[in-house]
Amino acid sequence: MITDSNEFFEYLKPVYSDCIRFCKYLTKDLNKFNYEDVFQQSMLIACEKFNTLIDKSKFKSWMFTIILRESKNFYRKNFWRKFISIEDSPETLNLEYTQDTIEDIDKKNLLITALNKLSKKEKESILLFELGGFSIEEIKDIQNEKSLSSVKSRLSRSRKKLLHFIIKNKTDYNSNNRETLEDETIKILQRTNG
Amino acid sequence: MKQSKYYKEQMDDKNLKKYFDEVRNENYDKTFNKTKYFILEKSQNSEQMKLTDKIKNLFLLNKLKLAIVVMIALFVAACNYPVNSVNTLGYLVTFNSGKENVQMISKEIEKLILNNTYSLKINKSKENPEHTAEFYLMLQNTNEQDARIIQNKIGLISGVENLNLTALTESHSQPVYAYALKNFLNLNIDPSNKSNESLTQEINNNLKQAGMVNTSVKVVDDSGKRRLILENLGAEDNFEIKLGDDKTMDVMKIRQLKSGDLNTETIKTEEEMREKVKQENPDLKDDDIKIIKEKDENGKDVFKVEISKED
Repeated sequence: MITDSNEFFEYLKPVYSDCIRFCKYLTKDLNKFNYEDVFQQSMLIACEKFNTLIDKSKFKSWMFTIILRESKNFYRKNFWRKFISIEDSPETLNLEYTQDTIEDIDKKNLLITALNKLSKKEKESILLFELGGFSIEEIKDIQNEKSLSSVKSRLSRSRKKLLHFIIKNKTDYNSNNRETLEDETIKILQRTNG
Repeated sequence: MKQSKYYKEQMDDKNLKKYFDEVRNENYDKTFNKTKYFILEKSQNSEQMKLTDKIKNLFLLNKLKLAIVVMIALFVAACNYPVNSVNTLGYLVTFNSGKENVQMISKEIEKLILNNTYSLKINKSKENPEHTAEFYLMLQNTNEQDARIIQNKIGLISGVENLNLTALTESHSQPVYAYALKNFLNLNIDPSNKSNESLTQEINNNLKQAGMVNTSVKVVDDSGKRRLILENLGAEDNFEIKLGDDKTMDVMKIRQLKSGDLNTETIKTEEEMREKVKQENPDLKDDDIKIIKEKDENGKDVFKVEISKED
Protein backbone atom coordinates (compact mmCIF):
# COMPACT_ATOMS: atom_id res chain seq x y z
CA MET A 1 0.00 0.00 0.00
CA ILE A 2 2.82 2.44 0.96
CA THR A 3 4.66 1.80 -2.35
CA ASP A 4 1.40 2.28 -4.26
CA SER A 5 0.68 5.50 -2.34
CA ASN A 6 4.14 6.88 -3.05
CA GLU A 7 3.73 6.10 -6.73
CA PHE A 8 0.29 7.70 -6.66
CA PHE A 9 1.66 10.94 -5.20
CA GLU A 10 4.46 10.94 -7.78
CA TYR A 11 1.85 10.89 -10.53
CA LEU A 12 -0.32 13.41 -8.68
CA LYS A 13 2.36 16.07 -8.10
CA PRO A 14 2.53 17.49 -11.67
CA VAL A 15 -1.28 17.72 -12.00
CA TYR A 16 -2.03 18.62 -8.37
CA SER A 17 -2.77 22.33 -8.89
CA ASP A 18 -4.77 21.58 -12.07
CA CYS A 19 -6.94 19.16 -10.08
CA ILE A 20 -7.63 21.67 -7.29
CA ARG A 21 -8.44 24.49 -9.74
CA PHE A 22 -10.76 22.24 -11.72
CA CYS A 23 -12.48 20.98 -8.58
CA LYS A 24 -12.80 24.48 -7.13
CA TYR A 25 -14.40 26.09 -10.20
CA LEU A 26 -16.51 23.03 -10.96
CA THR A 27 -18.11 22.88 -7.53
CA LYS A 28 -17.90 26.43 -6.22
CA ASP A 29 -21.61 27.04 -6.21
CA LEU A 30 -21.78 30.20 -4.12
CA ASN A 31 -21.06 28.67 -0.70
CA LYS A 32 -23.32 25.64 -1.10
CA PHE A 33 -20.47 23.47 0.19
CA ASN A 34 -16.67 23.48 0.29
CA TYR A 35 -14.82 22.31 -2.79
CA GLU A 36 -12.21 20.92 -0.35
CA ASP A 37 -14.69 18.16 0.60
CA VAL A 38 -15.03 17.06 -3.02
CA PHE A 39 -11.29 17.29 -3.61
CA GLN A 40 -10.44 15.34 -0.46
CA GLN A 41 -12.96 12.59 -1.24
CA SER A 42 -11.69 12.35 -4.84
CA MET A 43 -8.09 12.05 -3.62
CA LEU A 44 -8.99 9.31 -1.13
CA ILE A 45 -10.80 7.32 -3.82
CA ALA A 46 -8.01 7.85 -6.34
CA CYS A 47 -5.36 6.79 -3.79
CA GLU A 48 -7.34 3.68 -2.92
CA LYS A 49 -8.07 2.69 -6.53
CA PHE A 50 -4.71 3.72 -8.02
CA ASN A 51 -3.53 0.12 -8.55
CA THR A 52 -6.61 -0.53 -10.72
CA LEU A 53 -5.41 2.06 -13.26
CA ILE A 54 -3.63 -0.01 -15.90
CA ASP A 55 -2.53 2.71 -18.34
CA LYS A 56 -0.73 5.18 -16.08
CA SER A 57 -0.30 7.62 -18.98
CA LYS A 58 -3.99 8.37 -18.62
CA PHE A 59 -3.59 9.37 -14.95
CA LYS A 60 -4.69 12.97 -15.47
CA SER A 61 -7.92 12.20 -17.31
CA TRP A 62 -8.61 9.40 -14.78
CA MET A 63 -8.19 11.90 -11.89
CA PHE A 64 -10.47 14.46 -13.54
CA THR A 65 -13.10 11.77 -14.18
CA ILE A 66 -13.06 10.88 -10.46
CA ILE A 67 -13.44 14.55 -9.51
CA LEU A 68 -16.37 14.91 -11.94
CA ARG A 69 -18.08 11.84 -10.49
CA GLU A 70 -17.52 12.91 -6.89
CA SER A 71 -18.81 16.42 -7.55
CA LYS A 72 -22.02 14.88 -8.91
CA ASN A 73 -22.26 12.66 -5.80
CA PHE A 74 -21.82 15.69 -3.55
CA TYR A 75 -24.61 17.58 -5.33
CA ARG A 76 -26.82 14.53 -4.96
CA LYS A 77 -25.99 14.01 -1.27
CA ASN A 78 -26.08 17.72 -0.46
CA PHE A 79 -29.65 17.46 0.84
CA TRP A 80 -28.67 14.92 3.53
CA ARG A 81 -25.53 16.86 4.43
CA LYS A 82 -27.68 19.64 5.91
CA PHE A 83 -28.74 17.30 8.71
CA ILE A 84 -25.23 16.28 9.84
CA SER A 85 -24.16 18.21 12.91
CA ILE A 86 -20.84 20.07 12.85
CA GLU A 87 -19.40 17.74 15.53
CA ASP A 88 -20.23 14.71 13.38
CA SER A 89 -18.73 16.17 10.19
CA PRO A 90 -15.35 14.65 9.38
CA GLU A 91 -12.24 16.83 9.44
CA THR A 92 -11.48 18.36 6.02
CA LEU A 93 -8.53 19.85 4.17
CA ASN A 94 -8.07 23.62 4.05
CA LEU A 95 -6.84 24.71 0.63
CA GLU A 96 -7.90 28.35 0.58
CA TYR A 97 -5.96 30.48 -1.88
CA THR A 98 -5.11 33.83 -0.28
CA GLN A 99 -2.86 35.62 -2.74
CA ASP A 100 -5.57 37.40 -4.71
CA THR A 101 -5.95 41.16 -4.96
CA ILE A 102 -9.44 42.72 -4.73
CA GLU A 103 -9.44 43.08 -8.52
CA ASP A 104 -8.57 39.38 -8.95
CA ILE A 105 -11.35 38.39 -6.55
CA ASP A 106 -13.82 40.53 -8.56
CA LYS A 107 -12.83 38.86 -11.80
CA LYS A 108 -12.99 35.37 -10.33
CA ASN A 109 -16.33 35.94 -8.67
CA LEU A 110 -17.73 37.21 -11.95
CA LEU A 111 -16.35 34.14 -13.72
CA ILE A 112 -17.83 31.81 -11.07
CA THR A 113 -21.24 33.47 -11.40
CA ALA A 114 -21.03 33.21 -15.20
CA LEU A 115 -19.99 29.54 -14.98
CA ASN A 116 -22.95 28.80 -12.73
CA LYS A 117 -25.26 30.16 -15.43
CA LEU A 118 -24.15 27.35 -17.78
CA SER A 119 -25.65 23.87 -17.82
CA LYS A 120 -23.68 21.18 -15.94
CA LYS A 121 -22.34 19.63 -19.15
CA GLU A 122 -21.36 23.02 -20.59
CA LYS A 123 -19.59 23.97 -17.38
CA GLU A 124 -17.73 20.66 -17.30
CA SER A 125 -16.55 20.92 -20.92
CA ILE A 126 -15.30 24.49 -20.69
CA LEU A 127 -13.44 23.77 -17.43
CA LEU A 128 -11.92 20.57 -18.81
CA PHE A 129 -10.73 22.55 -21.84
CA GLU A 130 -9.57 25.74 -20.14
CA LEU A 131 -8.32 24.50 -16.76
CA GLY A 132 -7.63 20.83 -17.47
CA GLY A 133 -5.93 21.56 -20.79
CA PHE A 134 -7.58 18.55 -22.40
CA SER A 135 -8.08 18.21 -26.15
CA ILE A 136 -11.58 17.95 -27.63
CA GLU A 137 -10.96 14.24 -28.25
CA GLU A 138 -10.08 13.70 -24.57
CA ILE A 139 -13.12 15.69 -23.39
CA LYS A 140 -15.28 13.52 -25.63
CA ASP A 141 -13.94 10.42 -23.82
CA ILE A 142 -14.24 11.92 -20.31
CA GLN A 143 -17.83 13.05 -20.93
CA ASN A 144 -18.77 9.80 -22.71
CA GLU A 145 -19.89 11.65 -25.82
CA LYS A 146 -20.37 9.92 -29.17
CA SER A 147 -19.15 12.66 -31.50
CA LEU A 148 -16.51 15.38 -31.50
CA SER A 149 -18.90 17.87 -33.04
CA SER A 150 -21.19 17.81 -30.01
CA VAL A 151 -18.24 18.69 -27.74
CA LYS A 152 -17.10 21.40 -30.18
CA SER A 153 -20.51 23.02 -30.40
CA ARG A 154 -20.97 22.80 -26.64
CA LEU A 155 -17.63 24.54 -26.07
CA SER A 156 -18.46 27.28 -28.56
CA ARG A 157 -21.90 27.77 -27.02
CA SER A 158 -20.44 27.93 -23.51
CA ARG A 159 -17.86 30.54 -24.56
CA LYS A 160 -20.55 32.71 -26.09
CA LYS A 161 -22.73 32.46 -22.99
CA LEU A 162 -19.80 33.24 -20.66
CA LEU A 163 -18.71 36.24 -22.71
CA HIS A 164 -22.23 37.57 -22.99
CA PHE A 165 -22.73 37.33 -19.22
CA ILE A 166 -19.31 38.80 -18.36
CA ILE A 167 -19.65 41.78 -20.74
CA LYS A 168 -23.19 42.46 -19.55
CA ASN A 169 -22.40 42.29 -15.83
CA LYS A 170 -18.77 43.41 -15.65
CA THR A 171 -19.40 47.07 -14.71
CA ASP A 172 -22.35 46.45 -12.39
CA TYR A 173 -20.71 43.55 -10.62
CA ASN A 174 -17.46 45.44 -9.92
CA SER A 175 -19.13 48.61 -8.73
CA ASN A 176 -21.59 46.69 -6.54
CA ASN A 177 -18.84 44.64 -4.99
CA ARG A 178 -16.69 47.71 -4.42
CA GLU A 179 -19.56 49.47 -2.70
CA THR A 180 -20.14 46.50 -0.41
CA LEU A 181 -16.44 46.30 0.39
CA GLU A 182 -16.22 50.02 1.02
CA ASP A 183 -19.27 49.89 3.29
CA GLU A 184 -17.75 46.99 5.19
CA THR A 185 -14.42 48.86 5.59
CA ILE A 186 -16.22 51.96 6.90
CA LYS A 187 -18.20 49.82 9.37
CA ILE A 188 -15.03 48.08 10.63
CA LEU A 189 -13.23 51.45 11.01
CA GLN A 190 -16.18 52.90 12.90
CA ARG A 191 -16.24 49.89 15.23
CA THR A 192 -12.50 50.12 15.89
CA ASN A 193 -12.70 53.82 16.60
CA GLY A 194 -15.54 53.13 19.02
CA MET B 1 -17.71 43.15 -42.61
CA LYS B 2 -16.35 39.59 -42.34
CA GLN B 3 -13.02 40.93 -41.14
CA SER B 4 -14.63 42.97 -38.39
CA LYS B 5 -16.62 39.93 -37.20
CA TYR B 6 -13.44 37.85 -37.11
CA TYR B 7 -11.68 40.67 -35.27
CA LYS B 8 -14.52 40.85 -32.72
CA GLU B 9 -14.35 37.12 -32.09
CA GLN B 10 -10.60 37.31 -31.57
CA MET B 11 -11.06 40.14 -29.10
CA ASP B 12 -13.77 38.21 -27.27
CA ASP B 13 -11.54 35.15 -26.98
CA LYS B 14 -8.76 37.31 -25.59
CA ASN B 15 -11.19 38.81 -23.10
CA LEU B 16 -12.31 35.40 -21.84
CA LYS B 17 -8.73 34.12 -21.83
CA LYS B 18 -7.83 36.89 -19.36
CA TYR B 19 -10.38 35.56 -16.89
CA PHE B 20 -9.20 31.98 -17.17
CA ASP B 21 -5.55 33.13 -16.97
CA GLU B 22 -6.32 34.58 -13.55
CA VAL B 23 -7.58 31.18 -12.45
CA ARG B 24 -4.67 29.33 -14.06
CA ASN B 25 -2.29 31.51 -12.02
CA GLU B 26 -3.58 30.02 -8.77
CA ASN B 27 -0.78 27.79 -7.57
CA TYR B 28 -1.41 25.24 -4.86
CA ASP B 29 1.94 23.40 -5.02
CA LYS B 30 2.82 24.59 -1.51
CA THR B 31 -0.09 22.64 -0.07
CA PHE B 32 0.93 19.39 -1.79
CA ASN B 33 2.80 17.90 1.19
CA LYS B 34 0.02 18.88 3.60
CA THR B 35 -2.52 17.15 1.35
CA LYS B 36 -0.25 14.12 0.92
CA TYR B 37 0.04 13.48 4.67
CA PHE B 38 -3.62 14.21 5.21
CA ILE B 39 -4.66 11.66 2.57
CA LEU B 40 -2.14 9.08 3.78
CA GLU B 41 -3.34 9.44 7.37
CA LYS B 42 -7.00 9.21 6.32
CA SER B 43 -6.48 6.15 4.12
CA GLN B 44 -4.45 4.39 6.85
CA ASN B 45 -7.13 5.22 9.41
CA SER B 46 -9.82 3.81 7.17
CA GLU B 47 -7.80 0.58 6.72
CA GLN B 48 -7.23 0.20 10.47
CA MET B 49 -10.74 1.17 11.41
CA LYS B 50 -12.56 -1.65 13.15
CA LEU B 51 -15.87 -2.91 11.88
CA THR B 52 -17.63 -1.46 14.94
CA ASP B 53 -16.13 1.99 14.22
CA LYS B 54 -17.26 1.75 10.60
CA ILE B 55 -20.79 0.91 11.71
CA LYS B 56 -20.66 3.77 14.27
CA ASN B 57 -19.57 6.20 11.52
CA LEU B 58 -22.29 4.92 9.23
CA PHE B 59 -24.88 5.62 11.94
CA LEU B 60 -23.48 9.06 12.72
CA LEU B 61 -23.42 10.20 9.10
CA ASN B 62 -26.77 8.70 8.13
CA LYS B 63 -28.84 9.45 11.23
CA LEU B 64 -31.73 11.03 9.32
CA LYS B 65 -31.82 8.37 6.60
CA LEU B 66 -31.93 5.65 9.27
CA ALA B 67 -34.65 7.50 11.17
CA ILE B 68 -36.77 7.66 7.99
CA VAL B 69 -36.20 3.93 7.29
CA VAL B 70 -37.24 3.06 10.87
CA MET B 71 -40.35 5.26 10.59
CA ILE B 72 -41.35 3.58 7.31
CA ALA B 73 -40.81 0.12 8.90
CA LEU B 74 -42.97 1.13 11.89
CA PHE B 75 -45.66 2.45 9.55
CA VAL B 76 -45.73 -0.83 7.58
CA ALA B 77 -45.91 -2.80 10.84
CA ALA B 78 -48.71 -0.56 12.13
CA CYS B 79 -50.65 -1.02 8.88
CA ASN B 80 -50.64 -4.78 9.43
CA TYR B 81 -51.88 -4.46 13.02
CA PRO B 82 -55.43 -5.82 13.19
CA VAL B 83 -58.21 -3.40 14.09
CA ASN B 84 -61.83 -4.12 14.93
CA SER B 85 -64.46 -2.61 12.71
CA VAL B 86 -68.21 -2.69 13.00
CA ASN B 87 -70.42 -3.07 9.93
CA THR B 88 -74.12 -2.41 9.87
CA LEU B 89 -75.89 -5.30 8.15
CA GLY B 90 -79.34 -3.76 8.27
CA TYR B 91 -82.04 -2.42 10.60
CA LEU B 92 -84.74 -4.20 12.54
CA VAL B 93 -88.06 -2.46 13.20
CA THR B 94 -90.16 -4.15 15.89
CA PHE B 95 -93.67 -3.26 17.00
CA ASN B 96 -96.88 -4.74 18.36
CA SER B 97 -100.49 -4.47 17.24
CA GLY B 98 -103.87 -6.04 17.84
CA LYS B 99 -104.52 -9.28 15.93
CA GLU B 100 -107.37 -7.69 13.99
CA ASN B 101 -104.93 -5.15 12.44
CA VAL B 102 -102.34 -7.65 11.14
CA GLN B 103 -103.56 -7.78 7.53
CA MET B 104 -104.08 -4.04 7.26
CA ILE B 105 -100.61 -3.28 8.68
CA SER B 106 -98.93 -5.82 6.35
CA LYS B 107 -100.53 -4.13 3.33
CA GLU B 108 -99.50 -0.70 4.58
CA ILE B 109 -95.91 -1.89 4.95
CA GLU B 110 -95.96 -3.28 1.40
CA LYS B 111 -97.03 0.14 0.16
CA LEU B 112 -94.42 1.92 2.30
CA ILE B 113 -91.38 -0.06 1.32
CA LEU B 114 -91.58 -0.30 -2.47
CA ASN B 115 -87.92 -0.13 -3.36
CA ASN B 116 -86.34 -1.58 -0.22
CA THR B 117 -85.39 -5.16 0.29
CA TYR B 118 -87.12 -6.29 3.45
CA SER B 119 -88.49 -9.32 5.22
CA LEU B 120 -91.43 -9.28 7.56
CA LYS B 121 -92.10 -11.84 10.26
CA ILE B 122 -95.22 -11.81 12.42
CA ASN B 123 -95.38 -13.81 15.67
CA LYS B 124 -97.93 -14.25 18.37
CA SER B 125 -97.10 -12.17 21.42
CA LYS B 126 -95.72 -14.22 24.33
CA GLU B 127 -97.48 -12.06 26.86
CA ASN B 128 -100.88 -11.91 25.17
CA PRO B 129 -100.98 -14.54 22.36
CA GLU B 130 -104.73 -14.37 21.89
CA HIS B 131 -104.98 -10.66 21.12
CA THR B 132 -101.56 -9.21 20.25
CA ALA B 133 -99.18 -9.85 17.36
CA GLU B 134 -95.42 -9.00 17.24
CA PHE B 135 -93.99 -7.60 13.98
CA TYR B 136 -90.30 -8.05 13.03
CA LEU B 137 -89.47 -5.98 9.95
CA MET B 138 -85.92 -6.53 8.69
CA LEU B 139 -84.62 -3.76 6.40
CA GLN B 140 -81.58 -4.67 4.28
CA ASN B 141 -79.36 -2.42 2.14
CA THR B 142 -80.59 0.70 3.81
CA ASN B 143 -79.00 3.47 5.80
CA GLU B 144 -79.99 4.80 9.19
CA GLN B 145 -81.75 7.88 7.80
CA ASP B 146 -84.02 5.82 5.50
CA ALA B 147 -84.71 3.32 8.31
CA ARG B 148 -85.81 6.18 10.61
CA ILE B 149 -88.15 7.54 7.88
CA ILE B 150 -89.74 4.10 7.57
CA GLN B 151 -89.98 3.85 11.37
CA ASN B 152 -91.79 7.22 11.51
CA LYS B 153 -94.19 6.20 8.72
CA ILE B 154 -95.01 2.94 10.51
CA GLY B 155 -95.63 4.95 13.68
CA LEU B 156 -98.41 6.80 11.85
CA ILE B 157 -100.32 3.57 11.04
CA SER B 158 -103.21 3.14 13.45
CA GLY B 159 -102.95 0.27 15.98
CA VAL B 160 -99.10 0.22 16.01
CA GLU B 161 -97.61 0.11 19.53
CA ASN B 162 -94.15 -0.25 21.16
CA LEU B 163 -92.30 0.80 18.01
CA ASN B 164 -88.51 0.25 18.14
CA LEU B 165 -85.58 0.52 15.70
CA THR B 166 -82.45 -1.59 16.23
CA ALA B 167 -79.31 -1.58 14.10
CA LEU B 168 -77.99 -5.05 13.25
CA THR B 169 -74.20 -4.90 13.38
CA GLU B 170 -71.34 -7.30 12.82
CA SER B 171 -67.90 -6.82 14.32
CA HIS B 172 -64.79 -8.22 12.68
CA SER B 173 -61.03 -7.79 12.78
CA GLN B 174 -58.89 -6.74 9.81
CA PRO B 175 -55.50 -5.05 9.15
CA VAL B 176 -55.41 -1.24 9.16
CA TYR B 177 -54.52 -1.07 5.46
CA ALA B 178 -57.52 -3.24 4.53
CA TYR B 179 -59.71 -0.97 6.64
CA ALA B 180 -58.23 2.11 4.94
CA LEU B 181 -58.74 0.57 1.50
CA LYS B 182 -62.27 -0.50 2.32
CA ASN B 183 -63.64 1.99 -0.14
CA PHE B 184 -61.84 0.36 -3.04
CA LEU B 185 -60.87 -3.30 -3.18
CA ASN B 186 -58.77 -4.69 -6.01
CA LEU B 187 -58.89 -8.46 -6.58
CA ASN B 188 -56.98 -10.55 -9.10
CA ILE B 189 -58.26 -14.13 -9.18
CA ASP B 190 -56.64 -16.99 -11.07
CA PRO B 191 -59.46 -19.36 -12.13
CA SER B 192 -57.29 -22.23 -13.31
CA ASN B 193 -58.21 -25.65 -11.84
CA LYS B 194 -61.05 -24.16 -9.80
CA SER B 195 -64.78 -24.78 -10.04
CA ASN B 196 -67.29 -21.94 -10.40
CA GLU B 197 -68.53 -22.63 -6.86
CA SER B 198 -65.09 -22.43 -5.27
CA LEU B 199 -64.31 -19.23 -7.25
CA THR B 200 -67.60 -17.70 -6.10
CA GLN B 201 -66.78 -18.61 -2.51
CA GLU B 202 -63.23 -17.25 -2.80
CA ILE B 203 -64.37 -13.90 -4.21
CA ASN B 204 -67.19 -13.50 -1.69
CA ASN B 205 -64.82 -14.34 1.19
CA ASN B 206 -62.42 -11.64 -0.03
CA LEU B 207 -65.27 -9.15 -0.25
CA LYS B 208 -66.38 -10.01 3.29
CA GLN B 209 -62.83 -9.70 4.63
CA ALA B 210 -62.67 -6.22 3.09
CA GLY B 211 -65.81 -5.30 5.00
CA MET B 212 -68.22 -5.59 2.02
CA VAL B 213 -70.65 -7.92 3.75
CA ASN B 214 -73.68 -6.86 1.71
CA THR B 215 -72.06 -7.45 -1.67
CA SER B 216 -71.94 -10.82 -3.39
CA VAL B 217 -70.81 -12.02 -6.79
CA LYS B 218 -71.36 -15.24 -8.72
CA VAL B 219 -69.10 -16.93 -11.27
CA VAL B 220 -70.81 -18.63 -14.23
CA ASP B 221 -69.80 -20.22 -17.55
CA ASP B 222 -70.64 -18.24 -20.67
CA SER B 223 -69.67 -19.71 -24.08
CA GLY B 224 -66.52 -21.29 -22.71
CA LYS B 225 -65.51 -18.28 -20.64
CA ARG B 226 -65.89 -17.52 -16.95
CA ARG B 227 -68.12 -14.53 -16.28
CA LEU B 228 -68.74 -12.48 -13.14
CA ILE B 229 -72.31 -11.65 -12.20
CA LEU B 230 -73.20 -9.17 -9.49
CA GLU B 231 -75.83 -10.62 -7.17
CA ASN B 232 -76.01 -8.04 -4.37
CA LEU B 233 -74.38 -4.67 -3.97
CA GLY B 234 -73.87 -3.03 -0.59
CA ALA B 235 -74.21 0.72 -0.25
CA GLU B 236 -70.88 2.56 -0.74
CA ASP B 237 -69.02 -0.65 -1.73
CA ASN B 238 -66.46 -0.08 -4.48
CA PHE B 239 -64.24 -2.78 -5.99
CA GLU B 240 -62.57 -4.17 -9.07
CA ILE B 241 -62.38 -7.92 -9.67
CA LYS B 242 -60.26 -9.40 -12.46
CA LEU B 243 -60.90 -13.03 -13.26
CA GLY B 244 -58.71 -15.01 -15.67
CA ASP B 245 -55.57 -14.47 -17.74
CA ASP B 246 -54.91 -11.77 -20.37
CA LYS B 247 -56.89 -13.57 -23.12
CA THR B 248 -59.99 -14.61 -21.21
CA MET B 249 -60.17 -11.96 -18.55
CA ASP B 250 -63.50 -10.76 -17.23
CA VAL B 251 -63.39 -7.55 -15.25
CA MET B 252 -66.05 -6.20 -12.92
CA LYS B 253 -65.46 -2.68 -11.75
CA ILE B 254 -67.93 -1.03 -9.40
CA ARG B 255 -67.48 2.57 -8.41
CA GLN B 256 -70.59 3.98 -6.81
CA LEU B 257 -71.09 7.66 -7.24
CA LYS B 258 -71.91 9.67 -4.16
CA SER B 259 -74.39 12.47 -4.40
CA GLY B 260 -72.52 15.38 -5.88
CA ASP B 261 -70.11 13.23 -7.91
CA LEU B 262 -72.26 13.79 -10.98
CA ASN B 263 -74.48 16.75 -11.51
CA THR B 264 -77.48 14.95 -12.93
CA GLU B 265 -80.09 17.60 -12.33
CA THR B 266 -79.98 18.82 -15.91
CA ILE B 267 -79.89 15.30 -17.39
CA LYS B 268 -83.19 14.19 -18.87
CA THR B 269 -82.47 11.31 -21.27
CA GLU B 270 -80.52 8.06 -21.06
CA GLU B 271 -78.17 9.26 -23.84
CA GLU B 272 -77.29 12.41 -21.87
CA MET B 273 -76.57 10.25 -18.82
CA ARG B 274 -74.38 7.92 -20.92
CA GLU B 275 -72.36 10.90 -22.22
CA LYS B 276 -71.95 12.20 -18.66
CA VAL B 277 -70.66 8.82 -17.43
CA LYS B 278 -68.25 8.57 -20.39
CA GLN B 279 -67.01 12.06 -19.67
CA GLU B 280 -66.23 11.04 -16.06
CA ASN B 281 -64.68 7.68 -17.14
CA PRO B 282 -62.97 8.17 -20.52
CA ASP B 283 -61.75 4.53 -20.64
CA LEU B 284 -65.32 3.20 -20.89
CA LYS B 285 -67.01 2.27 -24.16
CA ASP B 286 -70.74 2.41 -24.96
CA ASP B 287 -71.08 -1.37 -24.47
CA ASP B 288 -69.61 -1.11 -20.95
CA ILE B 289 -72.36 1.20 -19.73
CA LYS B 290 -75.90 0.07 -19.08
CA ILE B 291 -78.41 2.75 -18.11
CA ILE B 292 -81.85 2.04 -16.70
CA LYS B 293 -84.36 4.81 -16.15
CA GLU B 294 -86.68 4.18 -13.19
CA LYS B 295 -89.07 6.11 -11.02
CA ASP B 296 -88.35 6.52 -7.31
CA GLU B 297 -90.96 6.40 -4.52
CA ASN B 298 -91.76 10.08 -5.07
CA GLY B 299 -92.38 9.48 -8.77
CA LYS B 300 -89.18 11.27 -9.76
CA ASP B 301 -87.01 9.91 -12.63
CA VAL B 302 -83.84 8.21 -11.41
CA PHE B 303 -81.03 6.66 -13.47
CA LYS B 304 -79.48 3.35 -12.52
CA VAL B 305 -76.00 3.04 -14.05
CA GLU B 306 -74.32 -0.36 -14.38
CA ILE B 307 -70.75 -0.51 -15.60
CA SER B 308 -69.15 -3.75 -16.73
CA LYS B 309 -65.76 -3.37 -18.36
CA GLU B 310 -64.46 -6.27 -20.42
CA ASP B 311 -60.74 -6.37 -21.43
